[in-house]
Amino acid sequence: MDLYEFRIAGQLSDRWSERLGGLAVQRREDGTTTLVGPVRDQADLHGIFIRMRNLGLSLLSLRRLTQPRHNDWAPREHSANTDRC
Amino acid sequence: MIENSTDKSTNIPLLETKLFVPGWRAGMVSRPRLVDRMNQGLERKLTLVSAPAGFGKTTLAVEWLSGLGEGRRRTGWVSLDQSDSEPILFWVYFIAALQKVHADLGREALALLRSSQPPPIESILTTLINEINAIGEDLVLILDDYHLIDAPAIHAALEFFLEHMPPRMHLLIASRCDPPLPLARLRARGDSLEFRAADLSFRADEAAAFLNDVMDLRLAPAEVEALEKRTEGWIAGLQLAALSMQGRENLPGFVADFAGDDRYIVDYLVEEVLRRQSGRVRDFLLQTSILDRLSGPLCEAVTGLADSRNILEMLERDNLFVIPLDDKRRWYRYHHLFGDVLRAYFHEEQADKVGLCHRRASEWYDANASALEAIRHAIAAEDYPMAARQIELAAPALFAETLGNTLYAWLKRLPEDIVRARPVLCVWSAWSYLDESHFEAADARLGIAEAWLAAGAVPGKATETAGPAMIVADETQIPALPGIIAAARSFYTQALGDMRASERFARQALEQLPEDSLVWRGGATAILGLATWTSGDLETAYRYFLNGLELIRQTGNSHCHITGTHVLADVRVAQGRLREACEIYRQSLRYTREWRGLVIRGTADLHLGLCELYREFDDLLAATEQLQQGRRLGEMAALTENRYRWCLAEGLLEESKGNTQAALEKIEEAERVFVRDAVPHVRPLAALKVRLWLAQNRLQDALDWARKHKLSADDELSYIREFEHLTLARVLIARYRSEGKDKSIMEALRLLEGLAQSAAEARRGASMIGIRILQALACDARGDLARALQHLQVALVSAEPEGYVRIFADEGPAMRKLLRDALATGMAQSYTRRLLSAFDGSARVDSGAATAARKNTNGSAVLPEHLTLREREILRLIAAGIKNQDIADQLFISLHTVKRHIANAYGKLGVSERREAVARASELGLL
Repeated sequence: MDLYEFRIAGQLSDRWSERLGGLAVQRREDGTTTLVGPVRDQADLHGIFIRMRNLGLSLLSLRRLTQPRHNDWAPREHSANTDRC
Repeated sequence: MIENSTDKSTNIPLLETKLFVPGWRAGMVSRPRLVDRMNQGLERKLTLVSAPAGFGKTTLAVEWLSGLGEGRRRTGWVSLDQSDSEPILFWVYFIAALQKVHADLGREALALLRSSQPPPIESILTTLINEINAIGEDLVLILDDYHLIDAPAIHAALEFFLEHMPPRMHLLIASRCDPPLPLARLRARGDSLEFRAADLSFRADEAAAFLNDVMDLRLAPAEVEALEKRTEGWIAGLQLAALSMQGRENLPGFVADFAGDDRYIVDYLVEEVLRRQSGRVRDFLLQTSILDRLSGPLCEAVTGLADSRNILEMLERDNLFVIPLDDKRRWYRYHHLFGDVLRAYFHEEQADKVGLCHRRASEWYDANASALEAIRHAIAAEDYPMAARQIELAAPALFAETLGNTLYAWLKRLPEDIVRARPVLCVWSAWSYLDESHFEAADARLGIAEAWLAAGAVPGKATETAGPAMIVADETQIPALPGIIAAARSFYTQALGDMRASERFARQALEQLPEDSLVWRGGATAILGLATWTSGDLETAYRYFLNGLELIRQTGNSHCHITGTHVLADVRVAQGRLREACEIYRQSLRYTREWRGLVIRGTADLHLGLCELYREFDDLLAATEQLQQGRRLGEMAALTENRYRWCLAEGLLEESKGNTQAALEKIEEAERVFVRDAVPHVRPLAALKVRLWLAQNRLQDALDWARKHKLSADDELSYIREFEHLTLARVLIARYRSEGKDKSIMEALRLLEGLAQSAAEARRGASMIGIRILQALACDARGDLARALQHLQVALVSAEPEGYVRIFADEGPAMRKLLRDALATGMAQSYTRRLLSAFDGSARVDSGAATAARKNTNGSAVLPEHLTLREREILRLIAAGIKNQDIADQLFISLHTVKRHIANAYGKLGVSERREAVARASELGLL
């Protein structure tokens, strides 16, 4: 299970948390919202995309917060950088 | 009643509302700049409107259509939903929409789609494309909400359709995401026109037209601009804003608040809109948000509000995001985005009511004979007992309508204990596991069903042995259940290779199944045929298999004997009845030709079968041609389980041309693509390789093979290992030739004697000839020419009437020497000569005509045996007055090949025209 952060345009109300896979809704001062939470796998991730699409949300950025594992698809030499971005 | 039209040939009810072409309504903003562009795109194949929810995709399509004019273009429309991800349903709706344009359109394609075993989708679409071409009218088809389609098979088939789409047809796809079609290629070729979010957003003038003209809000230009900027031209946002502003006093204040707020537009505005509704309407909106389609009676059932119909009409009047689905004000739906938002509010505010509303919807659909919708809502309500009852009742119809996948998907949603209590569902779910080759899971489910039946449980009553009560929703399915269980068992034991068990279960199924269970009886009979084949009793196997196919055919599956043809022909080949096998393939080919442009799965395999037979007849040209003809038909026409056989046929052709190494490589390729299936594998590829090794003098490899497979001359003999034992005999003969040890040759002879006996008992003609040939070679190897010739003579006598050639010729130099010895003693003169001429290998294939011509200029006498079997066959047809093209058709070879055979025959006969050829041939007694 990996932790992901989605940033979307507009300030979203808490009621969408459940519809978006239980992600925690954090409204930010710059008029965007971050949704943070555990994503089970790629299928789960794509399911969240579809739900965002159906609500007409604009996805601004997406990043994985957890460290990639060794057997993961991420090249090992880049793994040190993932925390920073 | 929900409105639907049911085709007579099927039970799938079509929802008329999905085919409704929406009309232009007051409150829509006209967008001439986009419509102009769309008109220009009409000459292309595809218009793609791809943008997120709320960008007015559907509205734009509606405006465009209304401007096209009735006479010029005729239009079909499909509003897709999730259930259309089932390929059959998708194409049924696709064609139904076309039939709104032209009632007869796609009739043939529709019939094929609904046959119990539909041909590959490409052939159905080819039929459809031909039908569209034939009517020669302009037409436009709109697929709305294509993003709901989530089946790669549909995308692939749509791509095929687009590729071959008739020039007078145009397709419009509206979707929230780009469909997985080759868009880059379509763009590059100028075949598509796209409208995306940036094109669809309202510009300032359109926003003004909407807010001030349509919604009559009388906003100042600065306010319009502020709203347009805040929503970025997103139409749903502007609509929500307009709804929030209607009847409000201080509009500039609202605009200022909204523009200065960072909240997600939908959150901000839906709250505004909902706050302005009465409690009743608000509840109505939330509770009906779970419905895909809304009607007065259905909404009343779900909400309990008696004036539901009036509320719906009021919502339409007030532009509250309901869209009419017919022109009678009976069915509506919510705008998708608004519906999604309402659902979210519903789940948040009235979570305790969600299940109840789904359950009420399910009950309403159930009472109104709409099983698919009823089951969907029952599952959403998590009311599994209700879902289970509905699924059980609908299962036979779904299965017969080839909606098995939908059925299987639903069964997977049911909790384990719900299925376990229901023997009928246990059996259906066992088939769903068999479909995925999960044999253990299937077996477990069958076991549970059997336990219920064995316990003599009475529905609804708890028993001591089986614990809680057994539940049966559809008593009529119970009588056939034991037989279906046995049929399922015979199916998977066959796939697992346990032929004895398979045969036992198949027999049990036939004993237990009611007379009218044709599909199951047919399947069990065919499996019994395969099991009997494995045991070596070929004639019985043939009869069983044929009967099984006949039963299945009676259920309306008219193509099943095409997929079964190679089994029937293989059995005939094993019996040594090559001509009959040929006729079986040709008969099936004639049947496939009756279906004109349609490709029936298994057609390619018919050519493959003929290739194998023509090769045996030593007509390598025709054999190669069959192979190419089959390949040209494409993957979709070929049975996947036969893939290895194509490589094998190529390998054997190479062997016959004398290219041993190439043959070996092809057989290795065959090994790589080999998949085990229920058809007995009587000619193992590994053993076929050993033959070729021996031709390459790789005796040690051959001996290693025999050791590895634990083969010995003292084994108990069985048909399924016959080919391996024959190969062992070959290895032993080769060893004797190389090492000269008597032991090897004695073992070979003993083994062959045993094999000959069991082959003779079961009348396996092909085996008997093959065994005699090896016996002849073995005797000759140890210097016993007299015995060798005795064996050879028996082989020749049985082989000649069926036209065998390669079975001798592929034995190589040893056989050639033996045949010369036979000829010297005057044995079977003409046949022996013909066989000897087949030893030349590839040289003969390419220069047949040249050698024939040379023979004639030399003035030597033409002997009948100089003509190949095929040439004689063609001469006979010429003598019967049949035209070249008809000969080609009848023999399933190309006109070109017919002419080449005729030229060769003329050359050999020393004639130059038809009449002369017939006269000469009859003189020589060839006809």
